[in-house]
Amino acid sequence: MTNAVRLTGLRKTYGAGESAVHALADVSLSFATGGFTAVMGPSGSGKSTLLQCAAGLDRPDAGSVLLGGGDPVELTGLSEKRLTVLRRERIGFVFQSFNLLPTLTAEQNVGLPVRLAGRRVRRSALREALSQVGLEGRGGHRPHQLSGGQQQRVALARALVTRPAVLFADEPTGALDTEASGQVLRLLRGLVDAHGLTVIMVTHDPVAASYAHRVVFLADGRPAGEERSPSPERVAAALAGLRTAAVAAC
Amino acid sequence: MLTSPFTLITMAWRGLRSRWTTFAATFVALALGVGLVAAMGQVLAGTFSAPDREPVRYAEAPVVVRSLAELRVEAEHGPRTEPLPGAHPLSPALLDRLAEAGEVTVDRVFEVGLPDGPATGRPWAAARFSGTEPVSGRAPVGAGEVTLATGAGEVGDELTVYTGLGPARYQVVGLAPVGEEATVYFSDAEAARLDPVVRLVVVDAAEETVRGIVGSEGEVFAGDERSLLDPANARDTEALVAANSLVGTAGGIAAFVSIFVVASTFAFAVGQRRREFALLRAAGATPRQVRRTVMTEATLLGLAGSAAGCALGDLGGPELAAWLRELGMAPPWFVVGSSPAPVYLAFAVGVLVSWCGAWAASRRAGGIGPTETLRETHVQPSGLSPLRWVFGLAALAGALAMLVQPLLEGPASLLKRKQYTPLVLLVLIALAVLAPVLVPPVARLVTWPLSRLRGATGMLARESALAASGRTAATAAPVLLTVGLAVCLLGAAATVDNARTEEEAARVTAEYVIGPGLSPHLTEEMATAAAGVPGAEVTATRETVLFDLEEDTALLRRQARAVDPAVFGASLTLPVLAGAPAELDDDSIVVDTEWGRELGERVSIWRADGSPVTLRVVAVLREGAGGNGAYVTAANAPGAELGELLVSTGEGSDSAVVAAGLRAALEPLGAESVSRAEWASAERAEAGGATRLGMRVVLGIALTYTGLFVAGTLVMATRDRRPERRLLRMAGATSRQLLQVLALETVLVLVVGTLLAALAGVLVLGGMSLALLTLTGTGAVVVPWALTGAVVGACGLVALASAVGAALPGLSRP
Repeated sequence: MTNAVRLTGLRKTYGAGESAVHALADVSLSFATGGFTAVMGPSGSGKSTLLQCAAGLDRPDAGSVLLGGGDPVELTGLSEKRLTVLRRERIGFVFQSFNLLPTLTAEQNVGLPVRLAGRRVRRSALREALSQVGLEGRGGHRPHQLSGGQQQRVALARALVTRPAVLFADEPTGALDTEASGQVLRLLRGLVDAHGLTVIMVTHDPVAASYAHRVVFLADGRPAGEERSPSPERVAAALAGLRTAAVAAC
Repeated sequence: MLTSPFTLITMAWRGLRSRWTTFAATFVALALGVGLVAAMGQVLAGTFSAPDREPVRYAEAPVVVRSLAELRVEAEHGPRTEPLPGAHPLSPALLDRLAEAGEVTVDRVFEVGLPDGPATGRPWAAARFSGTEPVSGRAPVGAGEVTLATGAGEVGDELTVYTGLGPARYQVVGLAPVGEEATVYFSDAEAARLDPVVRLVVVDAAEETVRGIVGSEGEVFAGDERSLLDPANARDTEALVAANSLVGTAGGIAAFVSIFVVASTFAFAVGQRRREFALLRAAGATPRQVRRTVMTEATLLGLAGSAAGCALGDLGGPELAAWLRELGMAPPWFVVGSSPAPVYLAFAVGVLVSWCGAWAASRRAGGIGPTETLRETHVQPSGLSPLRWVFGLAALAGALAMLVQPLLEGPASLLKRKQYTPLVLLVLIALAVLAPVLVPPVARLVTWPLSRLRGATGMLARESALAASGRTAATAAPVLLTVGLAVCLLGAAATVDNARTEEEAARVTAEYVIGPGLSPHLTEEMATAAAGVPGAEVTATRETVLFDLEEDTALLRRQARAVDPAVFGASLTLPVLAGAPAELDDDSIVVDTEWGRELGERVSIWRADGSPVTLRVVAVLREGAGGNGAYVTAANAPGAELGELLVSTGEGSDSAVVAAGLRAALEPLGAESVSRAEWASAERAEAGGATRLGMRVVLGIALTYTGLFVAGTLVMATRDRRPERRLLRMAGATSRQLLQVLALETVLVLVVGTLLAALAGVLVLGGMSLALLTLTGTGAVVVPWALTGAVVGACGLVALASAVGAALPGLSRP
């Protein structure tokens, strides 16, 4: 099995001297193509920094981020412009706060990355992308006319419209209720299983993590074990163990 | 719920600190606005009074008596008086009685022409009253001698002086120091020959005695009153009237612009902070507390900004006065008023306007729900609050009333600056207030081509302009104000100037017009000389006035021309509405519609010498843009002076030969003849020269300020949309694309603002066109395209630079 993303020796430090915070302290991890991985850890464990570095949104201080697929690319040496284009072409994002443009309709939001790439947008492709996430007929609505779950599904459709190799999700269900969360997560898992999409998701919710194939735990900027057959209970137990360890370390 | 003032002030202070861009922009807008008002106010106060001057011309004269001639008419509410024009002599009987009281010296003051410019002619006997002594040579004694006080010439020179009786050679026998104005002193007898009417005498007697003798037959000047007779006094008064009118308009515009800018900046600043207020609300603040926070902030900022503005205005006022002096729009002695009242007033206005601007916004801020924190960014609700509807519609109704009422009752008033300036301001207020409802259709129309584009830039700019039409309206308002002021005020001034000169050009159809040239004015001798040229048909118009008692209440002084009826159709072509001017005779009159008389009506009026007469209306003229006035025959114009000398070429005569003949005949008299085309273009060049410069200065100041307003608004709008750019960045936009979207959005705002300004222009100039159509029969409007284009271009540059400058920091990273 090939790796969609391989991280080697990632380091990221915020601040300097006494007050320096080591968000990532030597992290090496691989994410398999066609896999759904959840990254978990207590607050401050560096999971969001990991995601941002892996996705090319932030630059690590040291280490390498290799984006796999047909034409492997090392992200760390790229110019801001090349990174932007790469993100647009090969990486999809979903965030806790949906990040839809308030002035655009759902359909326009979904078509935005394609337009930004300077390509023509076919309306049929947009409709298809929206129907894939269960939002037929909602294309003309602006974000504020949609519920949270619907907005997150629009964001998902937008992330997928460029057919990315990897989809990064940062707490995608953080702002949603249980039912909407379930819908979004089932949708994600379905896309992985049916279309071979690679998903890397940061979450703090054991239930959300249980939709993944694999859960990676982080603590103090380092990998701290993983779970290959996650259920909410086992994930919660592992997480509780990490927290106890963290408290004991203090 | 009670909150301690301390908490409120701390909250407000934190607000001030955390949103420094917005507050800096607001502070600058306020300080400059208050500064502008304070400076203009000081300058305006300076135009209320001329400095006290010591008497000069009659500094050593005991008492001066001047003739007084008035027309006195019994009207419904008591007697009405008007001074009669022309030279009215002091009666010989009065002069005799004055001579019994003390020595009487006759002074005569008349215009003469010298080769290097106009001067004043006076008898030498009067020179001693200003302490004038010859510095070289001696006083004039013989008829052919003069003493010059012009700063030029040498004793022994021969000099041609152009007088009312024609040119004559004089010998310079003495030189005197040049006083306030260039003067040529003649011998007493020669002066009496040149200007025979005795209008002013100096009496060496006690003031009381003289007053007793003169009674109501003349005016008596003694002590400081004598300074009223100095030419500087008339010049000062005239200059102050002109400066007052200009600065008054400028002050009005400055006050309007400042209030507009400060109020909108405050409203805009509060509007930009919805999220912050929502957070406050979510944290448990009541709407009232949010409102009070906003008001406390406004007070802090209003006090600080107004204080800074007053300091600025205090410095700027004298600078502005100096500038006006340099440009020749104020007399050389002009200074700002000494009273501090304008500065206090500007301070009060600053604080009050910040309150008002913030008050409306604070009501909206208080109404923000706590849930708005949940939204990342948000689309400002479009549409208007009821209060804004009421205000906007009231302003619009007011503007339409100001436009329609003159059209129905007296279109000429619409051509006056005092009438159209407030109209322009009101139209701009109405459009700015109603902008949120006007912007969506305009923006939809303007951005339609963008929707056909393939890339993301066009779509993003279009959707953002449409979805956030409230914000688009708010950012377009400064552009509307800047471009609107320029197009409306410059257009109105140019339209009026153009109408007046075109009308003059259409009235005179003679081939040649004779100008006085070196001579102080046209003379009968010139008329005779021109008439002697073979083939030249000379006609003269004479300037006179007629007095008309309107509705038995107001005694009006109306301008009229005395002509030979044969002139109509040949040298003069009048815009006749009814009747035939050629029927004019000694018992009739031609009037324009301003007189409000019907054809065939008999009008009882008074001639220039005060004698009553009843004339029949034989023709009615259009009122015209500058007033066409009335025409009578010479019989009804006693004492009228030559106004125009017009020359037509008789049948069978060669125009070039006539022109050469005129030149030869007129040159010895110092006069010149110009072709009608040359005359018309000179009139055009002259028209409104000073006013045009004045308006440009006024507008220049106002537009510089509104340009800053454009910049401030765009900086605030752009800075506060950082989250939106972050979202775009996340969606895969490059920095370049972000800048493209921003630039396109800015251009859209510029286009929308300019279109709204064009709407204002259509309203104002359209109304003016209708007024001109009624008045002159042609409704030609002049749009200053080049200047408007320059203003739009400058606005665009400022807007783009501000928006891009505000967006650049942190643009490259998501």
